[in-house]
Amino acid sequence: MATLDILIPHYNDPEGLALTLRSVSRQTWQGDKRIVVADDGSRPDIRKAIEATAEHSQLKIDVIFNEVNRGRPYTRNVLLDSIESPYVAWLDAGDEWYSEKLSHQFDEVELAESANWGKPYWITCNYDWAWVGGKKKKVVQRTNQDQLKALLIGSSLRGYLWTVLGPADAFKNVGWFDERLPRLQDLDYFIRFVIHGGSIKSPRVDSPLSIYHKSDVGRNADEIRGCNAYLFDKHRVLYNRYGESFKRMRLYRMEMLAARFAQSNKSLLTTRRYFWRAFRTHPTAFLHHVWKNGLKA
Amino acid sequence: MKEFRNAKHIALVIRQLGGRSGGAERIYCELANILVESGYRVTCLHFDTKDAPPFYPISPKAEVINLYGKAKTRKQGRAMLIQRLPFVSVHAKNQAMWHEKNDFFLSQLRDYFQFAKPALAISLMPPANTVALLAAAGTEVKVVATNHNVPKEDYESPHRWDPNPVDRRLRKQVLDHAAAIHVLFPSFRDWFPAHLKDRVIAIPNYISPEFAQRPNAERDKVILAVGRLAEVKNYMQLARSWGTLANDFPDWKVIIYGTGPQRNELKDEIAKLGIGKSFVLGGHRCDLGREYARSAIFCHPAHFEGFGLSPAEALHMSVPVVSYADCAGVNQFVKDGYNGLAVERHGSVDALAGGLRRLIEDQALREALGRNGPESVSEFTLDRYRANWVNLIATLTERPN
Repeated sequence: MATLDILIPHYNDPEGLALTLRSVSRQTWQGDKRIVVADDGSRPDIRKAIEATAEHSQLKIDVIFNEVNRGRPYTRNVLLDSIESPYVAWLDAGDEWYSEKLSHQFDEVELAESANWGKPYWITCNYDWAWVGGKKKKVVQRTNQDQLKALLIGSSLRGYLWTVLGPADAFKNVGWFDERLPRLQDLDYFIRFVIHGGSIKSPRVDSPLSIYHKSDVGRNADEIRGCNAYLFDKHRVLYNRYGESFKRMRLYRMEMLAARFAQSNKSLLTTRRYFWRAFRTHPTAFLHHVWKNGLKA
Repeated sequence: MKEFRNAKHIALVIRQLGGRSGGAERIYCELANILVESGYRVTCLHFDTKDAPPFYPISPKAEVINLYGKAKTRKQGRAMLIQRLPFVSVHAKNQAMWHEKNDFFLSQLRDYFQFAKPALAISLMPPANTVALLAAAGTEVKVVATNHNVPKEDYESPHRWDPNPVDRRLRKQVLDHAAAIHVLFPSFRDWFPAHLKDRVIAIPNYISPEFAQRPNAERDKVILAVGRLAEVKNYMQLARSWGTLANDFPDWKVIIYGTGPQRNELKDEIAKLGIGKSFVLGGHRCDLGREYARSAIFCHPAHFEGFGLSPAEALHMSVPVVSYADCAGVNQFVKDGYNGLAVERHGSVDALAGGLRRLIEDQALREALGRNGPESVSEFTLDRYRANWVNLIATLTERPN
């Protein structure tokens, strides 16, 4: 049995997957790794290419194929179900780890286990945020705060699975990914982890350990807004805990995020619609945004 | 292709949980763990002003959500104002006080039931029952209201729970909305009005499997008591009774394990009676199995109990029990002359001292009563407790509204 399962969902992005696997092969951590790629019904030629990659790779790669495209949360559940090793890390096809990532995270695992932490934990990491065609920007995951509130805000602690590594049970005990969330299912999973008594920890290094290649292009603004609305209702009692003004700001941010997606995809009418909804939700926050940034969402 | 289905979702509701080490909190955490082990998805909902973790462990497979928030609802704001107005009636002020205390908890539970839609909610004790039953009204969520004490005390006593008369009235009224009303013994059903009786389900507590230790062949000359040092446990009477016996039995000792608000008062009484050497307050103790195993007599002088867990544990460990015959929740299983002595509370003589004297002086009687102990509490097992809850949940969740 390997020490670590690296779980990678994939759909029609062989170049992205190759980039991701290269970053795994460059890891300085020398422990035994098992990579599981769950392909979510990609085109037949791409499936064949993945099989060939797995066969010829020096890494130990298990590939699972969904017969048809079932969406990201279903595919994450396939991966969750495939866990065999005592530790688990996630990585999305198209994103990369820097070579020291696993090494620093396992140092933290060792500390947590020698301190008999006793609570479920995940180790996250700082990362570089790279807009496609743009410059990289370091993003810090702040874990020394009210983690639930921080996740609901989604600014100083974000629910990105490809940043985390932890004991297998700390993932399995959270339950299945919510298949009603084609997007943001990982944020939902983070929130549920915290209400299962889980705690997110940081390694002792400040440098970024992953890189997130970010693009809004082709992403549906209505879908992201729909998922945010669903998430808001699902975790309504958690939002309620922090008061009305907190909730209003969160709802405003959801409208602005949908406006950003619409703007990135040059959908003028949709952008206007979400701007109008953002204004109605929180007029002062919207006017402040326009004062500072103009009409760039 | 494989499907990933979530298990049936059960919400467990209690008012306060964080850091609390009482019997009800223990039952709450153990029920959560039992339901998780039985394959349910469990969410533990509580309402604590501070975010302290539960004292008893809860499985990491269960969600734990503190519904408390510093925000106030509009109704709470109005209620605070009403209480300050000079010309408002006492009833209106009581009503306002109730809303100030409960409305955020109520609105949170209502939101939870509306959006999370658990298959069933199980609320623990009246402070959570009232709010959970009100919150579920208008949603499809069924609620089991559980009671961990004698219903007459829980629902009628002005000294138990919130002394606000509005709360006492609501406590009873809202039971009409319960899918089931849990009590600890079948006879507790008698207190409920006729239209609720068919919804009352008796599920007694269980004796933890940890008490599997074999009793010592040679018992020490120890009279054991285990419980919270609180007025309801009536340990002051035990001290006074022992005060009349201590000189006659200098090689015997009384030891009480437990902590509570009456500790200082008890210490003063022990000093006043001059029995400090033979009457020991042992504080909190985890390994009670060893104490039951070595003790010759167990004394439980409580006024009333929901389920007298410590006397049941003592009987399981073959220790004869001395208690009052009218103590509900203990008289269900302590039978005079069979597994202990059930003495009369009211009378000119100190019957508790009489019962203790009789057992101290008669080793053969102690042994005979002790031998019947395990059989007399053999129905209170974890397996039966689990099966009772799983059956109740299955019945209620498979039944249409």
